[in-house]
Amino acid sequence: MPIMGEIITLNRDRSIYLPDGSVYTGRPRAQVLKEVHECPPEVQSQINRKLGLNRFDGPLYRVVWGWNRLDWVAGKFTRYSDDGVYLREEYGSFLEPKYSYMGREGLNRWMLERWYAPEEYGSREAWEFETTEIEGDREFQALGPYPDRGGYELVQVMQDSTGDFIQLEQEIVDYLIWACEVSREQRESKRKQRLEEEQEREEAKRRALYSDVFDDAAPAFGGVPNSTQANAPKGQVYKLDSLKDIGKNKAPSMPGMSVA
Amino acid sequence: MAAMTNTQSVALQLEKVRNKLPLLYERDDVLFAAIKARGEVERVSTRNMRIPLKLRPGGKYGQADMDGGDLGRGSGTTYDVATVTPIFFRFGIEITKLVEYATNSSEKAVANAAKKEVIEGMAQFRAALDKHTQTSGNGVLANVTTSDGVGNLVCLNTVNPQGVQLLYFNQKVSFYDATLATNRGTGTITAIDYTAQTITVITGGNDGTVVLANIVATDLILPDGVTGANPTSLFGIKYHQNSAATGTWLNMNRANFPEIRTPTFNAGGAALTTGMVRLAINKIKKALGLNGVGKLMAYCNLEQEHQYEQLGVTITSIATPSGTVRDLELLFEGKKTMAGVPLMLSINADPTRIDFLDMTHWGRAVMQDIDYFEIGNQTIFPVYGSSGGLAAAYLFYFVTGMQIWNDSPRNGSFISNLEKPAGY
Repeated sequence: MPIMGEIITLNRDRSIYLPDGSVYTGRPRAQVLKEVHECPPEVQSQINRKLGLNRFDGPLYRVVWGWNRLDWVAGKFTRYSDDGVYLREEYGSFLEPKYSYMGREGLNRWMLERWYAPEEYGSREAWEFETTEIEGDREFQALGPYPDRGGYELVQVMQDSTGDFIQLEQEIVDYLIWACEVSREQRESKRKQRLEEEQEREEAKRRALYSDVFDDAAPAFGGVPNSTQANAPKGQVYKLDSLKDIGKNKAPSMPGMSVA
Repeated sequence: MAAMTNTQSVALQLEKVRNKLPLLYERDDVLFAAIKARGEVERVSTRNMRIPLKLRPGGKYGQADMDGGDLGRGSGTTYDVATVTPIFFRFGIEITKLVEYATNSSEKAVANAAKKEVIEGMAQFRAALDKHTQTSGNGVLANVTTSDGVGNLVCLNTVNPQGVQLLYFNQKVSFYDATLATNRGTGTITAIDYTAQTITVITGGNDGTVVLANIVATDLILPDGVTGANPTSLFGIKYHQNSAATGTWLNMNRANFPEIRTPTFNAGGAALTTGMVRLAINKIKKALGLNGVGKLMAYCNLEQEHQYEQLGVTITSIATPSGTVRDLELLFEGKKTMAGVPLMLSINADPTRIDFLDMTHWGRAVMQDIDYFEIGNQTIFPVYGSSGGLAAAYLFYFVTGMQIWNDSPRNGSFISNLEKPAGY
């Protein structure tokens, strides 16, 4: 049984490793509110080795764990308890999980971020103009101070197409970085063309679905009486020229039926 | 006994797909369909659907003197009720016998003609409803910026960002003055140019009643079928996602309840930045608490998706560099996001706006599910000629009765007044 104050390790399967290396199998008394993880150094150094560093000696891409990624949020906050009971309104600047809108489970993911140079956030004046919020007689920088060493923005959450967790692997990270770089190199006109083509493909899919739904509901062959020949010979066209041809590599054709 | 008429036989063919209509109607590929009719409570009669809202906390907290001190009075939670009344929508399809005969080389061709009209009709009905879902509750689809008095109209997107995007060829529309006080009558769109943002309208007979010379700049274009001054129409995205401190929302006064105003960020005509996305989402966090933000969806037009891609923090194109990573493609296929929020794209969305929506707070109050309009088991109706005899054509209608509701406008946010990228 773990004791209060003891450092324990929680694995993803919720098993608890005690400091002496043993596994606690009893019913845990603690409820796991959030998991925190650091990116394995070998993954990050591999990224840095391949891509180099930015002008502030920081990584160009980095991998972070959702709960570890904090950012400034400032202004007037309405606070509620976990049960949704209104508590109070308060003013201030707080470091909160940047991607908290993904939900508690959504933050239990590895995330790939790309470095943004300061100038990509606009000028300091523009930043202050855009992000200043006035609440009563107070002013807040809603997104915190100007990122004068740049900042990191989300490229991709590492989860599969159904939203399930994907373990951090170097191959996946490399692939995502490659895909992001390829995307960035696309010319604007090409990008527009691709988006429009995607829309057209979606529209074509929709029409095909409507057609299939209708066919599924409609009687076969439009309700027309129909008969077919099982095991009909394929690949040859038979034409009956005269009665002499019967049995000589030619098959008779029936009225209303063509065999191809 | 009289022989079975063609009208009767075509009716039979259409009935075969009757139970498939809802499937076509409820596809999640447009915003309208993504707003689901949920549960039994939303099955409504002609009376209003009531949505109780817990608006403000109650109770008087304070320190007390138990040595005979005054404990003061108490208070209770403030509840209010939002109300929704369904309205009806119809989509009429008319086919002449010539169209039918033109494909009448066999009975199967007749079935295909009917199929084509059902498919096209259903797609168009959904598209029309989706266009209507983009509006602000008053039904305004476009704003006239220039009128030449003979039916050639310009509806620039500098006034209404959607320009003529919410209109379509051959649509019958109503014209109102700028204050929505005067209904000028109806007209039919006979030409539409989405690039030049122009339409041509005719009137007279079945095409409408409006006097073309009476249509002036600042007039408003609404769907056919709205009546009277200040008509109430479908409560679209701009009705529920609204930051205004004036007007009403589901019969509640926005001036009295800041709680029903949607958080917003006005980009002031600037191009989208990652900061704007964070600001818009953070506003929900600040209003509802860190745990109050639900599963959001970023709803926008192609233009803003393009702008976001320009920022270079998204994977837009996944080709296969080598065999070893080929399988990885499947992990991320078809999951476009904006800062991790799933994207929902629509060519009908306002191109200068991005809406962050929590669809669990949206729903449809449905009085009548999508179906063919039916009288005495008949769904196909003859058309009559001017003589009073039958015309060589027949009609059928799709109808539905519903209204869109939202039980918490603060669970979403939006960025407005964004710059559109060049080339759109």
